[in-house]
Amino acid sequence: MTAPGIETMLEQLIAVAENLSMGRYGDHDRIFAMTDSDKYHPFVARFAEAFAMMAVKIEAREFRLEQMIDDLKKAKDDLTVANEKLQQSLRDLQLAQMQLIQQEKMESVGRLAAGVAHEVKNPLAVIQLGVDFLANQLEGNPLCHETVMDMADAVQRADRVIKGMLDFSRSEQLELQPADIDRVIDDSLILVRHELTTRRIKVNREEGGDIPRLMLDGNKIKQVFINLFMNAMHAMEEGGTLTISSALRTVMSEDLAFFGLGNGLLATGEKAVLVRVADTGTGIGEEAKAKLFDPFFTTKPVGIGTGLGLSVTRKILELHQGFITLANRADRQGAEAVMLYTLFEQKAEDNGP
Amino acid sequence: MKKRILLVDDEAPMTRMMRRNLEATGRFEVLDVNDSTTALQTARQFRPDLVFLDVMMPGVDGGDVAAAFADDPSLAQVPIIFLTAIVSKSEVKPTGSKIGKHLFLAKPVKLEDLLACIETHLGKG
Repeated sequence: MTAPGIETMLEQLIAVAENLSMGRYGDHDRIFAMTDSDKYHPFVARFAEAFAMMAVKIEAREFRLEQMIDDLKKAKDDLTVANEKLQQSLRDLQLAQMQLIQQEKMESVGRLAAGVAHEVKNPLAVIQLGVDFLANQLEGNPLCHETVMDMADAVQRADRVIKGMLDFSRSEQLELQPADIDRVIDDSLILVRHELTTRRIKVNREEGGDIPRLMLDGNKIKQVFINLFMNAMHAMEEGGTLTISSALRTVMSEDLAFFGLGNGLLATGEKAVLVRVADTGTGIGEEAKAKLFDPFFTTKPVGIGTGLGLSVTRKILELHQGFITLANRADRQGAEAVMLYTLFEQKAEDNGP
Repeated sequence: MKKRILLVDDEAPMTRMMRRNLEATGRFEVLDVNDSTTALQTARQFRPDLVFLDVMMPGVDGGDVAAAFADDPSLAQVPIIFLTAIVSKSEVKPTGSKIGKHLFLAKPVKLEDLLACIETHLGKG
Protein backbone atom coordinates (compact mmCIF):
# COMPACT_ATOMS: atom_id res chain seq x y z
CA MET A 1 0.00 0.00 0.00
CA THR A 2 1.72 3.10 -1.27
CA ALA A 3 -0.96 5.43 -2.59
CA PRO A 4 -2.26 7.63 -1.27
CA GLY A 5 0.93 7.88 0.63
CA ILE A 6 0.80 7.88 4.39
CA GLU A 7 2.56 11.21 4.36
CA THR A 8 -0.18 12.86 2.27
CA MET A 9 -2.74 11.41 4.62
CA LEU A 10 -1.00 12.70 7.70
CA GLU A 11 -0.70 16.11 6.00
CA GLN A 12 -4.47 16.09 5.55
CA LEU A 13 -5.09 15.04 9.15
CA ILE A 14 -2.75 17.76 10.39
CA ALA A 15 -4.68 20.34 8.35
CA VAL A 16 -8.00 19.04 9.73
CA ALA A 17 -6.63 18.99 13.28
CA GLU A 18 -5.51 22.61 12.89
CA ASN A 19 -8.95 23.59 11.62
CA LEU A 20 -10.55 21.75 14.52
CA SER A 21 -8.37 23.57 17.00
CA MET A 22 -9.59 26.86 15.54
CA GLY A 23 -13.21 25.81 15.93
CA ARG A 24 -13.82 25.09 12.24
CA TYR A 25 -15.85 21.93 11.86
CA GLY A 26 -16.32 21.86 8.04
CA ASP A 27 -13.70 19.18 7.38
CA HIS A 28 -15.51 16.11 8.66
CA ASP A 29 -16.09 14.85 5.08
CA ARG A 30 -12.38 14.73 4.39
CA ILE A 31 -11.77 12.53 7.43
CA PHE A 32 -14.80 10.36 6.76
CA ALA A 33 -13.36 9.71 3.28
CA MET A 34 -10.25 8.25 4.88
CA THR A 35 -12.20 5.70 6.93
CA ASP A 36 -12.79 3.69 3.74
CA SER A 37 -10.56 0.61 4.35
CA ASP A 38 -10.84 -0.38 0.67
CA LYS A 39 -8.99 2.73 -0.38
CA TYR A 40 -6.84 3.23 2.72
CA HIS A 41 -4.68 1.04 4.82
CA PRO A 42 -6.93 -0.53 7.49
CA PHE A 43 -4.76 0.88 10.20
CA VAL A 44 -5.05 4.35 8.68
CA ALA A 45 -8.81 3.84 8.23
CA ARG A 46 -9.20 2.91 11.89
CA PHE A 47 -7.14 5.90 12.92
CA ALA A 48 -9.23 8.17 10.67
CA GLU A 49 -12.39 6.72 12.16
CA ALA A 50 -11.22 7.40 15.73
CA PHE A 51 -10.15 10.88 14.65
CA ALA A 52 -13.53 11.53 13.02
CA MET A 53 -15.38 10.45 16.17
CA MET A 54 -13.25 12.80 18.22
CA ALA A 55 -13.95 15.70 15.85
CA VAL A 56 -17.69 15.09 15.89
CA LYS A 57 -17.76 14.83 19.69
CA ILE A 58 -15.75 18.01 20.06
CA GLU A 59 -18.19 19.81 17.81
CA ALA A 60 -21.16 18.46 19.78
CA ARG A 61 -19.58 19.44 23.07
CA GLU A 62 -18.80 22.91 21.84
CA PHE A 63 -22.38 23.30 20.67
CA ARG A 64 -23.65 22.24 24.09
CA LEU A 65 -21.20 24.62 25.77
CA GLU A 66 -22.46 27.52 23.66
CA GLN A 67 -26.01 26.67 24.60
CA MET A 68 -25.08 26.60 28.27
CA ILE A 69 -23.35 29.95 27.94
CA ASP A 70 -26.49 31.38 26.32
CA ASP A 71 -28.62 29.94 29.14
CA LEU A 72 -26.29 31.35 31.76
CA LYS A 73 -26.31 34.76 30.12
CA LYS A 74 -30.08 34.77 30.10
CA ALA A 75 -30.18 33.64 33.74
CA LYS A 76 -27.76 36.42 34.61
CA ASP A 77 -29.92 39.01 32.85
CA ASP A 78 -32.99 37.72 34.70
CA LEU A 79 -31.11 37.97 37.98
CA THR A 80 -30.01 41.51 37.21
CA VAL A 81 -33.61 42.52 36.56
CA ALA A 82 -34.81 40.73 39.70
CA ASN A 83 -32.05 42.36 41.71
CA GLU A 84 -33.00 45.79 40.36
CA LYS A 85 -36.60 45.16 41.42
CA LEU A 86 -35.46 44.05 44.87
CA GLN A 87 -33.33 47.17 45.22
CA GLN A 88 -36.34 49.30 44.31
CA SER A 89 -38.53 47.44 46.82
CA LEU A 90 -35.86 47.97 49.44
CA ARG A 91 -35.74 51.68 48.67
CA ASP A 92 -39.55 51.87 48.86
CA LEU A 93 -39.51 50.00 52.17
CA GLN A 94 -36.82 52.25 53.58
CA LEU A 95 -38.81 55.30 52.54
CA ALA A 96 -41.99 53.88 54.09
CA GLN A 97 -40.09 53.06 57.26
CA MET A 98 -38.67 56.58 57.43
CA GLN A 99 -42.14 57.99 57.02
CA LEU A 100 -43.50 55.72 59.75
CA ILE A 101 -40.72 56.70 62.13
CA GLN A 102 -41.33 60.34 61.35
CA GLN A 103 -45.06 59.92 61.92
CA GLU A 104 -44.50 58.10 65.18
CA LYS A 105 -42.12 60.84 66.29
CA MET A 106 -44.68 63.50 65.49
CA GLU A 107 -47.42 61.68 67.35
CA SER A 108 -45.36 61.22 70.48
CA VAL A 109 -44.37 64.88 70.40
CA GLY A 110 -48.07 65.71 70.10
CA ARG A 111 -49.01 63.60 73.10
CA LEU A 112 -46.13 64.99 75.09
CA ALA A 113 -47.05 68.54 74.12
CA ALA A 114 -50.60 68.28 75.38
CA GLY A 115 -49.46 66.91 78.73
CA VAL A 116 -46.62 69.38 79.16
CA ALA A 117 -48.86 72.29 78.14
CA HIS A 118 -51.25 71.68 81.01
CA GLU A 119 -48.51 71.20 83.56
CA VAL A 120 -46.65 74.33 82.47
CA LYS A 121 -49.60 76.65 81.97
CA ASN A 122 -50.68 76.46 85.62
CA PRO A 123 -47.38 77.66 87.07
CA LEU A 124 -47.16 80.23 84.26
CA ALA A 125 -50.57 81.52 85.30
CA VAL A 126 -49.34 81.99 88.87
CA ILE A 127 -46.23 83.82 87.70
CA GLN A 128 -48.22 85.99 85.29
CA LEU A 129 -50.60 87.19 87.99
CA GLY A 130 -47.76 87.57 90.49
CA VAL A 131 -45.91 89.74 88.00
CA ASP A 132 -49.04 91.79 87.32
CA PHE A 133 -49.49 92.34 91.06
CA LEU A 134 -45.89 93.39 91.58
CA ALA A 135 -45.97 95.65 88.52
CA ASN A 136 -48.82 97.62 90.10
CA GLN A 137 -47.13 97.74 93.52
CA LEU A 138 -43.82 98.88 92.04
CA GLU A 139 -45.07 101.62 89.76
CA GLY A 140 -43.15 104.23 91.79
CA ASN A 141 -39.85 102.42 91.27
CA PRO A 142 -38.91 102.51 87.57
CA LEU A 143 -36.07 99.99 87.78
CA CYS A 144 -38.13 97.41 89.67
CA HIS A 145 -41.12 98.08 87.46
CA GLU A 146 -39.07 97.55 84.32
CA THR A 147 -37.60 94.36 85.75
CA VAL A 148 -41.03 93.00 86.47
CA MET A 149 -42.25 93.93 82.98
CA ASP A 150 -39.31 91.99 81.49
CA MET A 151 -40.49 89.03 83.53
CA ALA A 152 -43.99 89.50 82.14
CA ASP A 153 -42.58 89.38 78.60
CA ALA A 154 -40.76 86.17 79.44
CA VAL A 155 -43.99 84.59 80.65
CA GLN A 156 -45.72 85.57 77.43
CA ARG A 157 -42.87 84.08 75.42
CA ALA A 158 -43.08 80.80 77.31
CA ASP A 159 -46.81 80.82 76.73
CA ARG A 160 -46.28 81.24 72.97
CA VAL A 161 -44.09 78.15 72.93
CA ILE A 162 -46.76 76.20 74.79
CA LYS A 163 -49.40 77.48 72.37
CA GLY A 164 -47.26 76.28 69.47
CA MET A 165 -47.03 72.85 71.06
CA LEU A 166 -50.77 72.73 71.56
CA ASP A 167 -51.36 73.79 67.97
CA PHE A 168 -49.09 70.98 66.95
CA SER A 169 -50.85 68.36 69.05
CA ARG A 170 -54.24 69.58 67.94
CA SER A 171 -53.66 70.01 64.27
CA GLU A 172 -55.59 66.79 63.56
CA GLN A 173 -58.86 68.65 63.65
CA LEU A 174 -59.61 70.38 60.37
CA GLU A 175 -62.49 72.54 59.30
CA LEU A 176 -62.45 72.21 55.54
CA GLN A 177 -64.26 74.77 53.41
CA PRO A 178 -64.08 75.50 49.69
CA ALA A 179 -61.57 78.34 49.40
CA ASP A 180 -59.61 80.35 46.91
CA ILE A 181 -55.93 79.74 47.67
CA ASP A 182 -54.93 83.15 46.30
CA ARG A 183 -57.32 84.80 48.74
CA VAL A 184 -55.80 82.86 51.64
CA ILE A 185 -52.30 83.86 50.54
CA ASP A 186 -53.27 87.53 50.28
CA ASP A 187 -55.03 87.47 53.66
CA SER A 188 -51.92 85.98 55.21
CA LEU A 189 -49.75 88.63 53.56
CA ILE A 190 -51.88 91.37 55.10
CA LEU A 191 -51.16 89.96 58.55
CA VAL A 192 -47.39 90.31 58.09
CA ARG A 193 -47.43 93.47 55.98
CA HIS A 194 -46.21 95.64 58.84
CA GLU A 195 -43.26 93.32 59.52
CA LEU A 196 -42.40 93.21 55.83
CA THR A 197 -42.33 96.99 55.52
CA THR A 198 -40.27 97.43 58.68
CA ARG A 199 -37.72 94.95 57.39
CA ARG A 200 -37.56 96.56 53.93
CA ILE A 201 -38.78 93.42 52.20
CA LYS A 202 -40.43 93.80 48.82
CA VAL A 203 -43.27 91.47 47.91
CA ASN A 204 -43.46 90.00 44.43
CA ARG A 205 -46.82 88.31 43.99
CA GLU A 206 -47.30 86.09 40.92
CA GLU A 207 -50.85 84.83 40.59
CA GLY A 208 -51.39 81.90 38.30
CA GLY A 209 -54.80 82.91 36.95
CA ASP A 210 -57.75 80.57 37.10
CA ILE A 211 -57.11 78.18 39.97
CA PRO A 212 -60.07 75.97 40.95
CA ARG A 213 -61.21 76.20 44.54
CA LEU A 214 -59.56 73.91 47.08
CA MET A 215 -60.91 72.36 50.26
CA LEU A 216 -58.94 74.20 52.96
CA ASP A 217 -58.99 74.95 56.64
CA GLY A 218 -58.44 78.66 56.04
CA ASN A 219 -57.03 79.41 59.49
CA LYS A 220 -54.58 76.54 59.43
CA ILE A 221 -53.38 77.35 55.93
CA LYS A 222 -52.95 80.97 56.98
CA GLN A 223 -50.81 79.64 59.81
CA VAL A 224 -48.76 77.77 57.19
CA PHE A 225 -48.17 80.91 55.12
CA ILE A 226 -47.41 83.10 58.11
CA ASN A 227 -44.87 80.51 59.29
CA LEU A 228 -43.23 80.49 55.88
CA PHE A 229 -43.29 84.28 55.58
CA MET A 230 -41.74 84.64 59.04
CA ASN A 231 -39.02 82.13 58.15
CA ALA A 232 -38.32 84.03 54.94
CA MET A 233 -38.15 87.32 56.85
CA HIS A 234 -35.75 85.92 59.40
CA ALA A 235 -33.53 84.78 56.53
CA MET A 236 -33.51 88.31 55.04
CA GLU A 237 -32.17 90.46 57.88
CA GLU A 238 -30.76 92.92 55.31
CA GLY A 239 -34.03 93.23 53.41
CA GLY A 240 -34.82 91.52 50.13
CA THR A 241 -37.66 90.20 48.00
CA LEU A 242 -40.34 87.72 48.99
CA THR A 243 -41.84 86.01 45.95
CA ILE A 244 -45.11 84.13 46.21
CA SER A 245 -46.43 82.34 43.16
CA SER A 246 -49.39 80.05 42.68
CA ALA A 247 -50.41 78.02 39.64
CA LEU A 248 -52.45 75.06 38.55
CA ARG A 249 -50.18 72.27 37.41
CA THR A 250 -50.24 68.78 35.95
CA VAL A 251 -48.05 66.58 38.10
CA MET A 252 -44.95 65.29 36.32
CA SER A 253 -42.50 62.61 37.38
CA GLU A 254 -39.86 65.21 38.27
CA ASP A 255 -42.38 66.76 40.69
CA LEU A 256 -42.71 63.41 42.47
CA ALA A 257 -38.93 63.21 42.72
CA PHE A 258 -38.71 66.82 43.93
CA PHE A 259 -41.16 66.14 46.74
CA GLY A 260 -39.59 62.75 47.49
CA LEU A 261 -42.90 60.99 46.94
CA GLY A 262 -43.18 57.25 46.51
CA ASN A 263 -45.85 55.54 44.47
CA GLY A 264 -49.45 55.91 45.49
CA LEU A 265 -49.50 59.28 47.25
CA LEU A 266 -49.72 61.21 44.03
CA ALA A 267 -49.59 60.10 40.42
CA THR A 268 -48.25 61.81 37.32
CA GLY A 269 -50.95 63.40 35.22
CA GLU A 270 -53.02 64.44 38.27
CA LYS A 271 -53.84 68.10 38.80
CA ALA A 272 -52.40 70.02 41.72
CA VAL A 273 -51.91 73.61 42.78
CA LEU A 274 -48.26 74.51 43.14
CA VAL A 275 -47.45 77.34 45.53
CA ARG A 276 -43.96 78.70 45.94
CA VAL A 277 -42.69 81.00 48.69
CA ALA A 278 -39.20 82.15 47.81
CA ASP A 279 -36.84 84.53 49.59
CA THR A 280 -33.55 86.20 48.72
CA GLY A 281 -32.02 85.35 52.07
CA THR A 282 -29.12 83.35 53.36
CA GLY A 283 -30.33 79.97 52.11
CA ILE A 284 -30.47 76.67 53.98
CA GLY A 285 -27.26 75.36 55.49
CA GLU A 286 -26.11 71.84 54.68
CA GLU A 287 -26.40 70.61 58.27
CA ALA A 288 -29.93 72.01 58.63
CA LYS A 289 -31.36 70.30 55.54
CA ALA A 290 -32.18 66.93 57.09
CA LYS A 291 -33.68 68.37 60.25
CA LEU A 292 -35.87 71.15 58.87
CA PHE A 293 -39.14 69.45 59.68
CA ASP A 294 -38.09 67.99 63.04
CA PRO A 295 -40.06 69.29 66.00
CA PHE A 296 -38.00 71.72 68.13
CA PHE A 297 -35.27 72.11 65.51
CA THR A 298 -34.46 75.76 65.00
CA THR A 299 -31.65 77.82 63.53
CA LYS A 300 -33.04 81.01 65.00
CA PRO A 301 -31.67 82.71 68.11
CA VAL A 302 -33.12 81.63 71.44
CA GLY A 303 -36.43 83.37 71.98
CA ILE A 304 -37.16 83.91 68.29
CA GLY A 305 -37.94 80.42 67.07
CA THR A 306 -39.78 77.67 68.87
CA GLY A 307 -38.61 75.06 66.38
CA LEU A 308 -42.18 74.01 65.84
CA GLY A 309 -43.15 76.16 62.86
CA LEU A 310 -42.13 73.83 60.06
CA SER A 311 -43.20 70.60 61.76
CA VAL A 312 -46.65 72.12 62.31
CA THR A 313 -46.62 73.41 58.75
CA ARG A 314 -45.85 70.02 57.30
CA LYS A 315 -48.49 68.35 59.44
CA ILE A 316 -51.14 70.82 58.30
CA LEU A 317 -50.18 70.17 54.67
CA GLU A 318 -50.39 66.41 55.21
CA LEU A 319 -53.87 66.78 56.67
CA HIS A 320 -54.85 68.59 53.48
CA GLN A 321 -53.38 65.75 51.39
CA GLY A 322 -50.74 68.23 50.36
CA PHE A 323 -46.97 68.24 50.29
CA ILE A 324 -44.22 70.67 51.17
CA THR A 325 -40.52 70.70 50.60
CA LEU A 326 -37.84 73.26 51.34
CA ALA A 327 -34.72 73.82 49.32
CA ASN A 328 -32.26 76.39 48.20
CA ARG A 329 -33.35 78.10 45.01
CA ALA A 330 -32.00 76.79 41.72
CA ASP A 331 -30.69 80.31 40.96
CA ARG A 332 -28.86 80.26 44.33
CA GLN A 333 -30.43 83.53 45.41
CA GLY A 334 -31.99 82.18 48.61
CA ALA A 335 -34.34 79.47 49.80
CA GLU A 336 -37.81 78.46 48.75
CA ALA A 337 -40.71 76.48 50.15
CA VAL A 338 -42.67 74.63 47.48
CA MET A 339 -46.11 73.20 48.21
CA LEU A 340 -48.56 71.03 46.32
CA TYR A 341 -52.24 71.23 47.15
CA THR A 342 -54.37 68.41 45.79
CA LEU A 343 -57.70 68.57 47.62
CA PHE A 344 -59.92 70.24 45.03
CA GLU A 345 -63.49 71.18 45.81
CA GLN A 346 -64.68 69.08 42.87
CA LYS A 347 -62.66 66.03 43.86
CA ALA A 348 -63.84 66.27 47.47
CA GLU A 349 -67.45 66.33 46.27
CA ASP A 350 -66.90 63.29 44.09
CA ASN A 351 -65.53 61.37 47.05
CA GLY A 352 -68.14 62.75 49.39
CA PRO A 353 -71.33 61.07 50.55
CA MET B 1 -70.69 98.16 97.86
CA LYS B 2 -67.91 95.83 96.83
CA LYS B 3 -68.72 93.03 94.40
CA ARG B 4 -68.07 89.55 95.74
CA ILE B 5 -65.92 87.21 93.69
CA LEU B 6 -65.43 83.53 94.43
CA LEU B 7 -62.30 81.77 93.16
CA VAL B 8 -62.28 77.99 92.84
CA ASP B 9 -58.98 76.38 91.87
CA ASP B 10 -57.12 73.45 93.42
CA GLU B 11 -53.86 75.39 93.22
CA ALA B 12 -53.60 77.66 96.24
CA PRO B 13 -50.88 79.92 94.74
CA MET B 14 -53.17 80.58 91.78
CA THR B 15 -56.15 81.71 93.85
CA ARG B 16 -53.82 83.64 96.17
CA MET B 17 -52.39 85.61 93.25
CA MET B 18 -55.83 86.31 91.85
CA ARG B 19 -57.11 87.40 95.24
CA ARG B 20 -54.20 89.76 95.89
CA ASN B 21 -54.64 91.34 92.47
CA LEU B 22 -58.38 91.75 92.76
CA GLU B 23 -58.25 93.02 96.34
CA ALA B 24 -55.58 95.53 95.38
CA THR B 25 -58.07 97.28 93.11
CA GLY B 26 -60.19 98.01 96.20
CA ARG B 27 -63.31 97.12 94.26
CA PHE B 28 -63.85 93.50 95.21
CA GLU B 29 -64.38 91.21 98.14
CA VAL B 30 -62.67 87.96 97.26
CA LEU B 31 -62.87 84.47 98.71
CA ASP B 32 -60.82 81.53 97.49
CA VAL B 33 -61.61 77.85 97.66
CA ASN B 34 -58.99 75.19 96.91
CA ASP B 35 -61.05 72.13 97.72
CA SER B 36 -63.73 71.89 95.07
CA THR B 37 -65.90 69.59 97.20
CA THR B 38 -66.61 72.55 99.51
CA ALA B 39 -67.25 75.04 96.70
CA LEU B 40 -71.04 74.76 96.73
CA GLN B 41 -71.31 75.09 100.51
CA THR B 42 -68.98 78.10 100.55
CA ALA B 43 -70.80 79.77 97.67
CA ARG B 44 -74.20 79.44 99.38
CA GLN B 45 -72.87 81.36 102.38
CA PHE B 46 -70.68 83.85 100.46
CA ARG B 47 -73.30 84.61 97.76
CA PRO B 48 -70.82 85.70 95.06
CA ASP B 49 -71.64 88.06 92.19
CA LEU B 50 -69.19 86.19 89.97
CA VAL B 51 -67.26 82.92 90.08
CA PHE B 52 -63.91 82.04 88.55
CA LEU B 53 -63.72 78.29 88.20
CA ASP B 54 -60.80 76.06 87.28
CA VAL B 55 -61.74 73.25 84.91
CA MET B 56 -59.39 70.42 85.78
CA MET B 57 -59.47 69.71 89.50
CA PRO B 58 -59.10 66.38 91.28
CA GLY B 59 -62.32 64.73 92.45
CA VAL B 60 -65.07 67.23 91.68
CA ASP B 61 -64.02 69.08 88.52
CA GLY B 62 -65.08 72.49 87.23
CA GLY B 63 -67.90 71.04 85.16
CA ASP B 64 -69.35 69.30 88.22
CA VAL B 65 -69.14 72.48 90.29
CA ALA B 66 -70.87 74.49 87.54
CA ALA B 67 -73.61 71.88 87.29
CA ALA B 68 -74.17 71.97 91.07
CA PHE B 69 -74.38 75.79 90.99
CA ALA B 70 -76.89 75.64 88.13
CA ASP B 71 -79.08 73.29 90.16
CA ASP B 72 -79.06 75.60 93.19
CA PRO B 73 -81.73 78.33 92.87
CA SER B 74 -79.66 80.82 94.88
CA LEU B 75 -76.62 80.38 92.59
CA ALA B 76 -78.09 79.49 89.18
CA GLN B 77 -77.92 83.08 87.91
CA VAL B 78 -74.35 83.78 89.06
CA PRO B 79 -72.03 84.14 86.06
CA ILE B 80 -69.23 81.59 85.96
CA ILE B 81 -65.99 82.13 84.11
CA PHE B 82 -63.91 79.07 83.50
CA LEU B 83 -60.15 79.25 83.77
CA THR B 84 -58.40 76.48 81.96
CA ALA B 85 -54.86 75.47 81.15
CA ILE B 86 -56.21 73.58 78.19
CA VAL B 87 -57.72 75.92 75.71
CA SER B 88 -59.80 73.70 73.52
CA LYS B 89 -63.39 73.21 74.61
CA SER B 90 -63.28 69.65 73.31
CA GLU B 91 -60.95 68.79 76.18
CA VAL B 92 -63.36 69.85 78.91
CA LYS B 93 -64.91 66.78 80.55
CA PRO B 94 -68.16 65.37 79.11
CA THR B 95 -70.14 67.07 81.93
CA GLY B 96 -69.87 69.88 79.41
CA SER B 97 -73.45 70.55 78.35
CA LYS B 98 -73.97 73.00 81.19
CA ILE B 99 -70.58 74.53 80.59
CA GLY B 100 -71.70 75.60 77.15
CA LYS B 101 -73.04 79.05 78.02
CA HIS B 102 -70.08 80.07 80.19
CA LEU B 103 -67.00 81.97 79.16
CA PHE B 104 -63.55 80.49 79.09
CA LEU B 105 -60.27 82.19 79.90
CA ALA B 106 -57.03 80.47 79.06
CA LYS B 107 -54.24 80.28 81.60
CA PRO B 108 -51.94 82.13 81.92
CA VAL B 109 -54.38 85.01 82.10
CA LYS B 110 -53.26 88.62 82.41
CA LEU B 111 -54.72 90.85 85.10
CA GLU B 112 -56.06 93.28 82.49
CA ASP B 113 -57.97 90.45 80.79
CA LEU B 114 -59.28 89.28 84.13
CA LEU B 115 -60.54 92.77 84.93
CA ALA B 116 -62.01 93.25 81.46
CA CYS B 117 -63.87 89.99 81.85
CA ILE B 118 -65.27 91.00 85.24
CA GLU B 119 -66.33 94.34 83.78
CA THR B 120 -68.22 92.58 80.99
CA HIS B 121 -70.26 90.64 83.51
CA LEU B 122 -70.62 93.07 86.40
CA GLY B 123 -70.15 96.46 84.77
CA LYS B 124 -67.73 99.11 86.09
CA GLY B 125 -68.27 98.83 89.81
